Amino acid sequence: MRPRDTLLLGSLAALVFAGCGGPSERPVERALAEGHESEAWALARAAVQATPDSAAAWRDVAHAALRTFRTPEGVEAAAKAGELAPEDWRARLLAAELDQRRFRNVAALAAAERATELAPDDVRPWIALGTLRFGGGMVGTAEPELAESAFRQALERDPESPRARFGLAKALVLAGRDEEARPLLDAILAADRADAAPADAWYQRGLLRMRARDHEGAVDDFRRAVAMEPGDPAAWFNLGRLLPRLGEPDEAKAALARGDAARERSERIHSLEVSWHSNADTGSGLTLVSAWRDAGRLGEARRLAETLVEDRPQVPPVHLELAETLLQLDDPAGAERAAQRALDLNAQNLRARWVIARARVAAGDPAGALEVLGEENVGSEDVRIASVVGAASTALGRPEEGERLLSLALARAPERTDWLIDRARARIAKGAGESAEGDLRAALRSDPESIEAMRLLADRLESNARADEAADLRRRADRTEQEHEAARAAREREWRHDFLSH
Amino acid sequence: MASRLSLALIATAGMVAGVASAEPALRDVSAECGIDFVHANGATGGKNYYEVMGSGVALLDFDGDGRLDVYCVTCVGPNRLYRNVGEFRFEEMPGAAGAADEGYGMGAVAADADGDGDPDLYVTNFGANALYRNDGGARFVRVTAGAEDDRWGCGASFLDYDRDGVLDLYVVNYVQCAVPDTNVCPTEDGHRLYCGPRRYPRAADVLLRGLGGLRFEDVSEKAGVAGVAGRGLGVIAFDADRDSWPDLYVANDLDPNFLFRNLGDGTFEEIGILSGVSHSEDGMEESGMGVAAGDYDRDGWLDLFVTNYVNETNTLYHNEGDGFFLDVSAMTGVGPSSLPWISWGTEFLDWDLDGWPDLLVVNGHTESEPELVDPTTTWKQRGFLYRNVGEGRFEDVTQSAAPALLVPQASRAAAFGDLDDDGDVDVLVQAQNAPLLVLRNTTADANWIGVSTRGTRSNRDGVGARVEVHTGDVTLVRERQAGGSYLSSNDPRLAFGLGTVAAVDSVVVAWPSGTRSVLRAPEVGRYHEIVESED
Repeated sequence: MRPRDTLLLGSLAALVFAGCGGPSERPVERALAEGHESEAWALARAAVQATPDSAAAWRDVAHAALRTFRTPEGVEAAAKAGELAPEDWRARLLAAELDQRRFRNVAALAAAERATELAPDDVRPWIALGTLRFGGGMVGTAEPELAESAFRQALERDPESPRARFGLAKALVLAGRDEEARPLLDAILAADRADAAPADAWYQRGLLRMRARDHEGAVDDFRRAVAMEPGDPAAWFNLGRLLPRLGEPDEAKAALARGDAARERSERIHSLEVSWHSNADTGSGLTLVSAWRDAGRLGEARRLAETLVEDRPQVPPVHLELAETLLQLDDPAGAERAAQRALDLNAQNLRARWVIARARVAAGDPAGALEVLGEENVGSEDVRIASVVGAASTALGRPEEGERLLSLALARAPERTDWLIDRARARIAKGAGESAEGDLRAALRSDPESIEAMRLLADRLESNARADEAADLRRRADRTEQEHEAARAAREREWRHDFLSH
Repeated sequence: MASRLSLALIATAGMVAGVASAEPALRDVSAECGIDFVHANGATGGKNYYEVMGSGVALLDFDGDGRLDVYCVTCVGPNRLYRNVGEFRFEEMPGAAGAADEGYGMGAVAADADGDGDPDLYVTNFGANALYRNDGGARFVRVTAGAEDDRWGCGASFLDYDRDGVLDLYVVNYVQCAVPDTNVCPTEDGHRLYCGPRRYPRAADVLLRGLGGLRFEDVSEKAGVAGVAGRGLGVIAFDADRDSWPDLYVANDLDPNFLFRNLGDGTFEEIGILSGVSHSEDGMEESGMGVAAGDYDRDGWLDLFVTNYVNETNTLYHNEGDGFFLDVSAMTGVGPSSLPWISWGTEFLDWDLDGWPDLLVVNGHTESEPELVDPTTTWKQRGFLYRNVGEGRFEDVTQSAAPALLVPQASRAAAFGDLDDDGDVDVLVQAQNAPLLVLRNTTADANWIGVSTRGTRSNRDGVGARVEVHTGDVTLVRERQAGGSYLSSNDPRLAFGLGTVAAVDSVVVAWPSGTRSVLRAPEVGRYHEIVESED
C-alpha cells in the first residue's frame, strides 16, 4: 500500500471510530441507516485496513458488504469479526444473514442460535431465528413451531415489535392455528399506518379468510397484497383461483397469467441470486440487476449496479445496467452519465448511445437524442433504435415519422407497453385519435397498471365527450399511482432491512 | 330399483386378536409372516435417476381363495408373489405364478381387466410395461394387449371412464431418462448427487381404452389428456364432482398436478388450477408422489391427499362440493408436520375403526447421502400414522399406534389391505433396498362392516362404484378404486369402521352403470359381497 493511501485510511478510520457510544454514532452504521451504502462500504474498508485487528471494523465491513450485495466479502468479514470477538452477537447475526443469502441454511441457523445465546435479552436475534425457521425455500429448515417459539421470545423482549408480531402471526398461519393468528393480523392491518404493513400481512390474512370460506374478504386482501407486491406469485395465484367463485372468470385468467409470469420470474431471480451471492461473477450480477429491475425491485437493482460499477469500472455493461435502472427510476441525467461512462470505454458501443438517446428523450431533449445516435444509426432498422428515434421524431414535430418507426419496432414486439404509448402519442399528434386509443388500450392489456396509458387514454376519452369513462380511468390511475408509491416505499424499506435493524 | 343381492360371506372375523390397550395397533410382523422379499434398486453409485423412485406393492386375491395375496415389485431381479395361507402366514409362489416380471420395476395395479372373475395384473417399469392375464388356475400369463409402453411408467389406475362395462387404464409416465443416465449433478465440494426432475424432459401419460378381451387402444389424444404433460408419479381415479363419471387426479413432480374432469362424452377437461388442486396453498408447484382420495370429514365428498417433498407440505385438499377444493393442510395438522420429510405412499385408512378415515404416510429421502449437502436430513426417515380426531384435525399417533414406522427407512410405497380378514387395515411398506415391512393391525373392540363389489352391467370388479354405509345420521363413503397410494394397489374390498355402533341401517352401492343396490340392516363384523342387479 502506498503511504498516501495509508494516511487517508488512517484518517477515515479515525472518523469511523470517533465516538462509539451508540449505533447511530458509528459512521458506517449511520451511513447505512441513511441509505449511503457506497460511503459505508468505503468507510468500512478504510477502517479495517487501518485497524485490521478490530472486530468492530470487520463487523462493519460485513454489514456494509451485506447491504451492497458483496456477499463473499461479507462472509469473510463476519468470520473474521467472529474470530476476533467470539462473543460478538452482532457478527453472528450478520453471518446468519449472509449465509441465508447463500442458501446455507444450516450455517445460518447455527449462527442465529448462537446469537440468541450471546444476547438473550435482545429482540433481534430472536426475530432472526424465527425468520430463518420459516425456511425461506431452504431445505430442512421450515419449522413452524420453532418459528413461533422464537417470535414469542422476541415479543417477551419487545411486545411492540411489529416484526415479531407479524412473525408470530405468520408462524401461526403456517401451523394452521388460524383462530390465534387472525386477531394478530387484524390488529396489524388495522393500525394507523396499515400501508406500512408488509404485503405479506395482507396475503396471510387473505389465506385465513380463504380457509374460512370468506371468499370476498380473501379476494380483497389478495388484491391488496398484489397491489403492494406485484411480484408475489402466491397472491396472484390465490386471487386467480378465487375470482371464478365471485363470478369474475376473465379477471381470474388474467390473475393466473400474472401469477405464472411472477413465478417464472421469481424462480429465475432465485437461481440468479444463488449464483451471484455464491460466486459474485459479473455475468450473474448483470443478469440479476436486469431481473430485479424487471420485477420492479428497483432499489436493489440500483444498489447492485452501483456495486458492480464500483468494483468493475472497466466493464462497459455494468455502467449500462446502472443507466437502465436509473432511467426506470426517472433519473435521466444520472442515466446519461452512467451510459456515457460506457461510451467512454468503447466509442462503438451502440447500446450506450441508445440508452443516452432514451435518457435525452425522457429529459425533453429529442434533438440531443438523435444527435447521440448519429446519422448513420438514425436510419437503422434495429427496433430499439427505431423506437427511440420514433419517440424523438414525434417530440420534434414529425409524428408521421414517429408513427412509422414505432410501428416498425412494434412489429417485432407488439406488446411492448412503452412503445405502444409512444406510438399513441405520435398518432394523437397527427390527429389519428382512434388508432391512438387502440394503442393505449393495447398498452393497458399488456400492462394493466400503466399509469401513463391510463392518463393518456383518459385525455383522449374526455376529448371525445366520454367524461364518465375518463373520470373512472383517472381515479384508477390515481389509485394505482398511490399503490405503486406505497409499494415502492415498502420495497425500499424492506430491502434495506436486515437482522441488525430494529 | 330392486337389486338382487348376493350376500356371500367372504370371510368371517374370528381372527381378531384381542390386545391390551398399551400394545400398538399396528405391529411389525415382518419377520414371522413368511414374506422374505427384499427390494433392490441396483444403485452402484452411478446416480442414475431411475434408481430414486423405488417400487410398489399390489394386493390381490390371485387364486380366488378369499384371502388377500401380496405382489412385490422390485427394480432389479424378478417381482415376487406371496400367497396368503391364512393365520397371517404367506408362502412364496414359485416364479410369482407366472408374473415374475424382470423389468426395472416401478408399480403394479390389480383388477379384473378381462371380466372373467379373477384379478389381472398390470406392471409398470422403467422400460416396457407388462400386462399379466390371470388364467383362473392361479397362474398368470403375460399378454400383448396394446398396453405396453416402453417409457418410464409409474403410477397406474384402472377405471371405466366411458362406463361401458370394460375397464380402461390410465398410466402415468414420469420423465425421459437415458440408460445409463448421463446427467451429472455434483455439489460444490464434488459429491455427486441425483439430478432433480427438472433436468429431464417430461414424458406424456397415456389413457388406454379397454376394448374387451384384454385389448386396449390409446385414446389419450381423443380423450383430451394428451394436451398437457407433467412429470407424473401418482394417479387415482375418483368421482370428484359426484356426477357418476370417474375423474382422474395425477400427482406431478415439480409440475402442477392435474385434475381431469370427465365430461361424460369420452373426453376430459383439465381443471387442476381452477379447482384448486394443482398447487400448494401458496401457489407453488409441489413434488407430488403418492395420492389418496377419501372422505375424511364425512360430508359425502371425496377429498384428496397428496404426498410431497421436503419443505413442502403433504397437501390435503378438502372437496368443497361445488367444483372447488380448499387446501386444508395447515388447518388439519397434516401439513406442518410433514415439512421436514419426503413423503411417498399414503392412504386414508380407518386404522382404529372409529369411522373417521385416518392417514398414513411413509417417508424417505431421494438422495442416499443427503447429509452431504444438508446435515439436517437423512436418507432413511420415519413414517407417520395420523388419527383423525374429528372436527377437521389429525394428530400424530405413530409413537403409540405404529412405533415400527418410527424406525427410519428409505420408504417409498405403501399398500393397504385387510390381510387377516378381521376388518381392520394392515399395512405393507416397501423401502429402498430393504425387506418388506409388514404391519399387522390388531385393533380390537370396534365394530366394522366390509363390502366387496361384483359388477354385472358394470365392470366385473365394480371399479368406480360408490359405496355408502348409513348408520343413523352418519354416512360413510368410499369408492372402489384400483390403483393409488404410490405405485401400488390396495385391497379391492372396502372396510368401514363403525366404532361403537353395532348396527348398520343400510349399505348402498351406486354402480358405474347407473344402477343402485341397497343392502338393508346387514350384519356387522363381516364382509358382504354385493352383486349388481342385471335388470
